[in-house]
Amino acid sequence: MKRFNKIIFFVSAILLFNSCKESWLDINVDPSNPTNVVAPVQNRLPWLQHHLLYAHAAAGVRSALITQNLTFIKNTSQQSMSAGWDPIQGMSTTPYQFFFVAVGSNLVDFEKAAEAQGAFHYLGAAKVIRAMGFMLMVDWLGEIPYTEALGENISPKFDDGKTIFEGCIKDIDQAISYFEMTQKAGATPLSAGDSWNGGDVDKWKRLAYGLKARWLNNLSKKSIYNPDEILALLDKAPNSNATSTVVNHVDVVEPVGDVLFGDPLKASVMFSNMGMNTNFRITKWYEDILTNTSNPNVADPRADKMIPWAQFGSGSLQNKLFKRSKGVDMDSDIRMNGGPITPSFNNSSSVLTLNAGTTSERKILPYSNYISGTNSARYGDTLYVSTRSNSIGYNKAVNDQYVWGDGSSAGTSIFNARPDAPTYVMTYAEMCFVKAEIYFNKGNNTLAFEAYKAGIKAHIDMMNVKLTAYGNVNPSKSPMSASDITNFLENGIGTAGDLTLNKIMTQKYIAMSYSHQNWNDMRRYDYDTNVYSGWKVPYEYTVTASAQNKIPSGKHFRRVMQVNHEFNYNAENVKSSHPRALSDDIWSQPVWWDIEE
Amino acid sequence: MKRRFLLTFFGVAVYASCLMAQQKSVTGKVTSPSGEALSNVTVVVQGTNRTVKTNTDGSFTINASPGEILLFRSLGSVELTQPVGNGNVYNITLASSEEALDEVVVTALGIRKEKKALGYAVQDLKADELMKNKTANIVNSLAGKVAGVNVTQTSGSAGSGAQIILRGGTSLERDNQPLFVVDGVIYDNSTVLGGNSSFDGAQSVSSTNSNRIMDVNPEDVESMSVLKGPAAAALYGSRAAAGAIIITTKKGKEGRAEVAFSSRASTNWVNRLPEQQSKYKRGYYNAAGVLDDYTTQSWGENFDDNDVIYDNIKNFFNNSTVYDNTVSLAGGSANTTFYVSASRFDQSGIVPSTGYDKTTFRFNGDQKYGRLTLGTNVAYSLANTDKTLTSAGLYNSGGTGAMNSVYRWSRNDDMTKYLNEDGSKYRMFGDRQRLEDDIENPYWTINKNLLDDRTERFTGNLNANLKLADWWNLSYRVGTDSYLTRNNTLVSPGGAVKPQWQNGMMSASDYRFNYWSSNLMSNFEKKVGDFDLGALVGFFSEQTKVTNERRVGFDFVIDDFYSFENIVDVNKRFNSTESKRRLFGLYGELRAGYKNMLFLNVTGRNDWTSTLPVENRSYFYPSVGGSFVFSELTKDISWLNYGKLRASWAKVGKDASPYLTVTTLWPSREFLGGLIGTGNYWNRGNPGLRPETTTSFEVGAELRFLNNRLGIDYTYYTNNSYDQIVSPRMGQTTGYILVSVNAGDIYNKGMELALTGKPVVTSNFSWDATLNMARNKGTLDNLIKGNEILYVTDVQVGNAKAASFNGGDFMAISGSRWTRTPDGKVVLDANTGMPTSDNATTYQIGNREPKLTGGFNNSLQYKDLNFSFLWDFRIGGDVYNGTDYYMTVNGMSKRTMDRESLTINGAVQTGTVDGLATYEDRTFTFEADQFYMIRNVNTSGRKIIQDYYSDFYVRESANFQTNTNWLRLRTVSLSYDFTKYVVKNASLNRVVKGLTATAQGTNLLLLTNYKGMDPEASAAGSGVVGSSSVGIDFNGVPSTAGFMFGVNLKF
Repeated sequence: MKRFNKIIFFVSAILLFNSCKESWLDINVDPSNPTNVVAPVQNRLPWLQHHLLYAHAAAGVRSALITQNLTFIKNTSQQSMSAGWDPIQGMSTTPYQFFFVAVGSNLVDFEKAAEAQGAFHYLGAAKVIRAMGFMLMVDWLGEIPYTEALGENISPKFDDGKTIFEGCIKDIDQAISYFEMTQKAGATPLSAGDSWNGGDVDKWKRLAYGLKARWLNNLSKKSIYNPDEILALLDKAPNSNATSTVVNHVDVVEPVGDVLFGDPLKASVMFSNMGMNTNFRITKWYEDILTNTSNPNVADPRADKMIPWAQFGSGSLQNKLFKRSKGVDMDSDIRMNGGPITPSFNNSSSVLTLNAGTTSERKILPYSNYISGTNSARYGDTLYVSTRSNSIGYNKAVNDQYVWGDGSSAGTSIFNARPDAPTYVMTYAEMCFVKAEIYFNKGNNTLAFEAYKAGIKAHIDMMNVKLTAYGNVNPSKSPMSASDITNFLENGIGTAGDLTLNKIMTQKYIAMSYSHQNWNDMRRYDYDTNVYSGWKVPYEYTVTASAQNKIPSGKHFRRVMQVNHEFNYNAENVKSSHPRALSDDIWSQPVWWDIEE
Repeated sequence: MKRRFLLTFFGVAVYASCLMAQQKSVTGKVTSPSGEALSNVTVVVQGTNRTVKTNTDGSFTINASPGEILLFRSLGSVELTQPVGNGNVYNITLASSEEALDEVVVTALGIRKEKKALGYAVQDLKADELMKNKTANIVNSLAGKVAGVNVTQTSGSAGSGAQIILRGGTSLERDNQPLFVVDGVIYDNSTVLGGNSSFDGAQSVSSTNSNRIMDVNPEDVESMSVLKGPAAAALYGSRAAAGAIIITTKKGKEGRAEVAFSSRASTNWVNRLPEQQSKYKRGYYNAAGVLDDYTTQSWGENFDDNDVIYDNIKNFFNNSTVYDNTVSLAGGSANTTFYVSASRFDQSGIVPSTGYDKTTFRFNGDQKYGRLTLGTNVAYSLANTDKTLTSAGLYNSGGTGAMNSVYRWSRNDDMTKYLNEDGSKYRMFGDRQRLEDDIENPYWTINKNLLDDRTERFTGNLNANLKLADWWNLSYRVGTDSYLTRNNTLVSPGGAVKPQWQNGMMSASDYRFNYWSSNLMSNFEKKVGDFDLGALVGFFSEQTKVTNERRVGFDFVIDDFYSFENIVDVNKRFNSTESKRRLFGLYGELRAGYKNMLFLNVTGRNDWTSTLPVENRSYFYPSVGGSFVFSELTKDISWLNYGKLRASWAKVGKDASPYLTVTTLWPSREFLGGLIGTGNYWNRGNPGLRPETTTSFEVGAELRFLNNRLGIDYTYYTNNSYDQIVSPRMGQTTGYILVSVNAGDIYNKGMELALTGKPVVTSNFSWDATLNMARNKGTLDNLIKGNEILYVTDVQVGNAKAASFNGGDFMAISGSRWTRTPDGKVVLDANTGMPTSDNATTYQIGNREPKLTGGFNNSLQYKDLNFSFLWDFRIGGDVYNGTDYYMTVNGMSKRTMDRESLTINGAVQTGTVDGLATYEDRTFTFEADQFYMIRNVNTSGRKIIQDYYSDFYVRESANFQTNTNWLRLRTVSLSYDFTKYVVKNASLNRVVKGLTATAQGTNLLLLTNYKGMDPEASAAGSGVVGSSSVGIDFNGVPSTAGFMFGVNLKF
């Protein structure tokens, strides 16, 4: 019986122990990862800034393919298809995902944390970032969930472009008023977390005004378009290179990349989106606007810097010469003939015999580049140099020179695509061109020319800061000389008398290279060849039936199709977002601000 | 006392058997109820080591003294005891256990119950049946044998897992496999994916993985009891919503210690390969009709007579061999039993460089001390898999999956050429494209990308049972299950992977699983008049802790040496996660039986879990069941031997996975200017989660007729799960990729029927047959508003996906469709002649759930010769041939073989009348060598035909779907028991006590309307949650057929 008592005691003890010990269950806190409520504002901001830039860069490179600044080797990747105006859904995703997942998810928590400590400047930054993200989505996709986005509803409905546009303008206004405020005592200073402007609130304010000017100017097809309001904003926007928002990237070894793609966090977002890739090429049209200026006898000093070079020749390194890349003529049948093709290199001291014994037999000299295959039409594709850059950080290379096996240059890359290339978030140059466009359209050529010239100069000067820092590395990676600059500005860009909208918009295009805004501008002017002279739709589009399913003949590339995540996981809402949301020809449907009123 | 305990437990068979003075020689004969002599029956004098076996005529002689008890025991018979009295002759009739009406089965919590008292269907399989188609995976031994059990062997790769589902899935997004319980302790059956797509590129389709029940040595299993729904499993609580499988391992038996040795060897080969075209070479034509060979696709020129057409697929696979040996020692005395075993399983894979091996050890022992019995079960195992990248390969490295490449490799290229003569890598296009854009040669993959996993597992329990009174029993069991799986991946330098990894990458992960549970149970039983009353109360607690330590590094400093030490620090990363969950529950049961005829059973359980918000963490669930053995009232009906009706209802609650109630942050990283940043993780937590519930109902009947020669067991059931806890992949405008919510109800209803019969029974020959059939229908409702489809991540092939539709089928396939006229004609584009599509990929195109599945299991015994065969069949249910889709897009499918001409029939829109489109029938014909004006563009016919297959044809996802039936000879085996000859042979019988030889074929015949590989395929292996990847065939390692020879020896 004693034993029985013992057992009963034991049983009751266990029951008692466990029922009392509710806290035994209080372990549902992830010991490995902190929760969303604890992140300090200064740790949120650099994260948001980087991923937002990445979204813009991804959209920017894709826009450059659409607007025929860039092209791609011929294959079936989304970039190549976009270049040929036969786009596929895969091109939509990256800007969307980087904005919503890497930026959007944080906004509410970020604002809450900033508000709690009265860190108004962080609140201002949050509003700027929110507006920049959603505005990109409107430009890119036309419609997107906005009022229900980033909230409780997990199948948010889409809003129309106008609603989102107005929301973004409201956010920008609010951002400006936050930047006007003094932070509460003890609040984290903006400098603690700002990787763009080092906490310079004035620059942020100018960034906000500049964005508002950019966006309101995108309403040029709308009845509410108000040029004078924009001019007033320009006064408060960046008024010099020093007050522009420029992000200075660095090429250093990084232990870990971003959470979505694993791409570098300090290197230029344009390097990640273009510079890493061997397959991008400059088009002939872009080469033309950089060389066929108002006075073709006076070279635009930027051409050497914005078009890649490579070393050609054979044998020893001394025999090799730098040549500037040719642009790929998108009005030719090159891409219908499988081009351009990426060159190969004979990295040996002996002659390489290709296709020996066949009619296509070829001898390749030692240490020279060549195009493999048997299609003789392609053998000259070595002239098209890739925009690829090497990288210390990402490729663990000794420097950023992309080289063949013998150390000769396989491509110098371009100003915009190197890992330490600056990102121009909001520049004085852009503001000048907005001003020039407005005054020109008002008929005031004098003020227009003044702004136009200031814009070109601002862009050149801004580039030259970085180029000077490089020193003389190669023809592309070296400073522009003061005399070339002066000569170009005085003799190469025309006069107030012969100013045309074409000059303004192509110079703006150059200054805004790889910015998504270039596509906005081109859409605003309906790809008008009077405004973008020499511009043509790609030839392959005209001879590819499937491309014309997407962009019917006579229409233009006006937006991208909704992302397949929305097709799959928010299908009903996508369907009602636009009458043609699911149709092949959605690509040719203008977004809200692009519809003429 | 402690010393004695140890001695006996470790099987030192030294007993102090005290001889009694008055021993005499007792003789007798053992027969079956029909009068046949039973040989080889063990006769033991209880409590001693005196034991003999009956001779061929059933006779025996043994020494015993009056008062001692003789115990008669034989496989397939009911044990019987006979006290020794004054007589010297005892003739015994042993009933076969199948005929034993008072059949006892193991139910939840290991409680043995009379089958007739149960309100639900339960089936159990004994060791000899399980051994008939033994594989490394005990789960495979259930295939086709139990109604309502669906087993899918996910691939033919060595060490690959199998998935088991009972009565359809109950969870949208979690593992739907039943709970496994081995010797009273929950046994983890996860499929461990050590890596992570964003860390080292590992995804479930990267390679094949084992499910961890494979760590059990099938030879150790005495019985497997299948509890098909919550009604049966309610007492197990949360985790048994999908049913439970109770495994009981072997125990030693009183008598002489017996050594058993079993050895098997088998050879296996690929049973079916996909069909490829053999007419066209690599290349493609563009719209201008210009041929280009810068492609891995096969849209090129015709082979001519002098060309070699490589059979790259067939050449790729090996024969697989298996060697499987087990040795065991079992024995015991009146108060002590023990069982010790060791086994080794060695398999080489059909994919070169792959293999699987497993080593297991087990000790089971019991010791009685009067009213107290102590017992333990301990197992230790080592399992190793050598594997490679299959299917999709590593995330972000599209071309690295070996199987993807095998099925698409152009046939004018010799796939075995993956190295140049100088040993460097052969690349089809040389420098012309970036290395990361290459399609990796499969031989490169299998030789250079080496993956392996190593699992070391320990499971064990200690249990005590105290019989406090005749009517009161107290038991306690504490158990643990712990294992460490180490996964290793090596991507050798030069691989077609992302640039960072091109100078090599290696990763390793240590996945450590630790589980313990404690269960205290008090059982009361009392007979009061005509009533058998019983009650049970218990307290259960458990903890599961999982830690995962991952390491990855890339860029080896010294060539050809692969270690983390050969990587500079900046290129190394680690990642460490830990998760812990706890749960405790109080449960009870009340039982009542009346005159062995009416039975009622009520249970209740309340759980408290750590994984739900505090206000929702406690939940209660009850069950009630009963049976009516009406044959007790109809004893005068001679043809009806047994009749029972049963019904039960149960509800089970289920908690969440750990840490779903909050959103966490990404590990922080450094940004420009040295600023440290962090952001929200892509899975949104939910602080309002509630437990999900599963309710089930079943009714059934068991009948046996004609002297038990024919039996019927029928069940109808519903099994519904409500308020599922899911983290679906959503549109990302929420800011998140995955969002945790309570949403979605799954409804299952179905029927199961088992017919058992003995068509022939004579003195020398008997035929036993079981035919079982089942049908389940799973549907889904109340999913998230606005999101009508839930997809299974990783199971997406082109436009087709494994999906569950709100208001529709649980195991559906979603995809895209061609647009059709109201009368069903394909609407063609008037300009291009191509079928049109609205590009939506959200149509339900099929349902993977079969209309009927079943098995026909036969055992024919002629004297000592046994011939058994098992057919299994499936009627209906769609299988999506993703492999053929993939081959079609790449110009390799046999369906693209006729490309010289293409005729498309359909209708084109002519206009609209009253807002409705009008159509006229049209036929477009394209000849390969002609040109056609398409939208004013002169386009080559070859290009048009190529585009038709690679783009337009695939937009009708159903083109690759087959409503699949099969009839499969899953196993056929022939075995002969040589024991009689051995026993007669004087020189042998000193050593050998028994010998059986078996020859067996597996999967030798498969009749199916499905084209392609074995339709029992599954794209993403055994660990896939929700509606799983069953029925999606996508570039997997093909299934195998095989032949095995084995012997069992007893000493």
